[in-house]
Amino acid sequence: MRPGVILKYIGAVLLLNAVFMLAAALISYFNGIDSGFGPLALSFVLIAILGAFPLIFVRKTEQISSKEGYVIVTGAWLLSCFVGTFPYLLWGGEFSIANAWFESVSGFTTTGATILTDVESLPKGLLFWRSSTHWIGGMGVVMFALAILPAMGRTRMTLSSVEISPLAKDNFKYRTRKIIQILLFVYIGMTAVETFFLKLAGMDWFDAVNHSFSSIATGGFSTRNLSIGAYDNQLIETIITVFTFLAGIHFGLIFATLIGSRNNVFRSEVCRYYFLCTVAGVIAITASLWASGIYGSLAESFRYGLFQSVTIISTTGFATADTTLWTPFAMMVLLFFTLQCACAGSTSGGIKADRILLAFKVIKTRIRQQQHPNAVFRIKMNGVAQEDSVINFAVLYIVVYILFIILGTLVNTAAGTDFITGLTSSAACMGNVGPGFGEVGSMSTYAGLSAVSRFASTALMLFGRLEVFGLIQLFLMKWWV
Amino acid sequence: MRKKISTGFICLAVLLLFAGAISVFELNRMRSKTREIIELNSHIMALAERMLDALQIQNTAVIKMIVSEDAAPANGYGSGMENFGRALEDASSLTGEASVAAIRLADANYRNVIAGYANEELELDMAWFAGIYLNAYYLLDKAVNDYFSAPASPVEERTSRLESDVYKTITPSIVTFMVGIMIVLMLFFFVDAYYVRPLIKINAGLKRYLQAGIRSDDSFETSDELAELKESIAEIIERSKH
Repeated sequence: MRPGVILKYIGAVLLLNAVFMLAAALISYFNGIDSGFGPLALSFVLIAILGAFPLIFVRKTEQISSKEGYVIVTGAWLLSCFVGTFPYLLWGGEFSIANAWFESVSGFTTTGATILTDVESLPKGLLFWRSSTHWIGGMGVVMFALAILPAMGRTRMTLSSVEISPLAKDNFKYRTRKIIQILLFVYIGMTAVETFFLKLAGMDWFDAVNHSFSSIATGGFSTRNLSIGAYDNQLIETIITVFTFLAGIHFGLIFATLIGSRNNVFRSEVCRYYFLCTVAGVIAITASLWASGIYGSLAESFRYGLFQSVTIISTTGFATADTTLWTPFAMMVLLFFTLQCACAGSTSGGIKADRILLAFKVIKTRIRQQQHPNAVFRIKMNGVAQEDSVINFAVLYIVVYILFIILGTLVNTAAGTDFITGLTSSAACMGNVGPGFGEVGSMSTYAGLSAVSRFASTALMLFGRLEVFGLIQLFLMKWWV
Repeated sequence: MRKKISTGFICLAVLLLFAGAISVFELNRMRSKTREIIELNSHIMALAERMLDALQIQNTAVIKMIVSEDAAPANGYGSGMENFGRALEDASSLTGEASVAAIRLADANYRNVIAGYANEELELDMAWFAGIYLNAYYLLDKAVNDYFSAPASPVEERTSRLESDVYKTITPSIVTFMVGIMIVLMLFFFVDAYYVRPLIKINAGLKRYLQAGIRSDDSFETSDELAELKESIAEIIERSKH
């Protein structure tokens, strides 16, 4: 392994972060040189120097091994989260070291959980930086850099193969360069379109851009203390519902649908499952809320039930209602959505609908196998028979995922949080959703948790975003040898 | 090679200079803010002293009038309140109207009490003095004392802001130094990995050849002038064989 080469590519990613910091500093500058300008400008200078430094020494083109690729991707994520704390630390306010780290990790992993009790007190530049961390992290810190860096041949393929989930690659039947172009096209395109619609619906440009960054990245950071509920605007809620739902679909399929290809959203079994699951959840929650009388009418129950369901299943985490006041049944449905989440190949986190669907098929096949012991059954997805290794890995991933949530709950409860808060915050952080229940509900923040719980939550966020195994092997000595 | 190492050291120097400049700037800012607080504190104390002196003059005049049983205003009776009013206006301009609101209220009450006597509504005797006048006087006296000693006073507010400013003064320097340390470590690594170690290997290979005539394994990668050195040595060895 060549540390110099690794540092060079991580440096390139840090330079990308520096560019967004510069943009945020400029926003502060044009906003009357608010209190965010100094911290953002200083952070830009420091990170630009840090990112550019390896480029002085390392040769221009270097082919990398897959092991180096893993270290680059993981190192880029960790260092991006680390340097992302600089503007927060330099600004001060509610940002202690633990809080700044939490906010930065929550931003880059697109979790959207916050420790801020007063978001609106932040200067505009810092609010933009917060949303930018979502936008960078949603696409993937390395994918963004790959889109900008010049042609690198196999290096681009190695890095993107590490960052894109194995499940997501199924619907990408293109060369690596084309995959990156497709992702960028859909990602930037959706962001631009949503910004435009939100502006039309009544938001100002600044809020529209920030909320679009957050929606398409399925993050959840808002510029308002009450999140989307602050606007009390059904049109805004509808636009965000539509775009966060779309952001939970495989981007390759969205692209294919737009260009009229046969392999599109409507023919995808996973997308159909995702859609039906969401619809079933919305109906169940609406019925539960209406029957319990929490909201005055069926229309109101549907309005809040729809928004919260879609925002949770897509792992965005915006809020228009306090879900901790909902019925236990509605909360259980949301908890299932928190675990499953949306489709692979999207910006969402969680176990992924693909794996859950595969798991259901495995269960169904197992039952049929018991009825017909001598029969041979093949598990298919989209009409394609799945390899045993794929099936085994999906089931293993679900088991490990649940284990991590249990571990997180153990740490949280040992640190003093109650069971509901500990369990749901672990699930929400692991799935990069954001809000849980208890003290970390949709209208609450993570400010009330202890520093230990907050650090544990950030670890879960990173494990969830990097799909567990990518980060685990870095802790194994044998892997480095 | 020289260019790369020089660039590396220049980056480090720039960063450290930057850190130093930020520290100096922030410390100067802290110094001026601390000076501001001290000056404000002394101005407030001076104003409070003026108000208390004026009040004392007024109070003495009232006592003289009671003792002498003279209805005519004693020396200092009106001037005391005039001085008090001027000091109060100065305090309002210095620290804001909100900070002197309690004093204004107590002052208005005190003036009403005095006006009550002036309008001949009440008799100026010990009963009025002990019962009505002293209450108003003590309220006003307390309001003036609270002005520069209470937790909501302007000095207290600026002092607590100074605490957060201390954080803002120290943090940029700490963060910049931290980045500086990372750059130092990276510089050490790159110089060691790309220049020192290849030099050591080239030197070891040359020694081995000189001692035993064994050509060393020169499969390691080098760059810049070191690559040229390696190639030159390899050429010398080749030529010496022929």
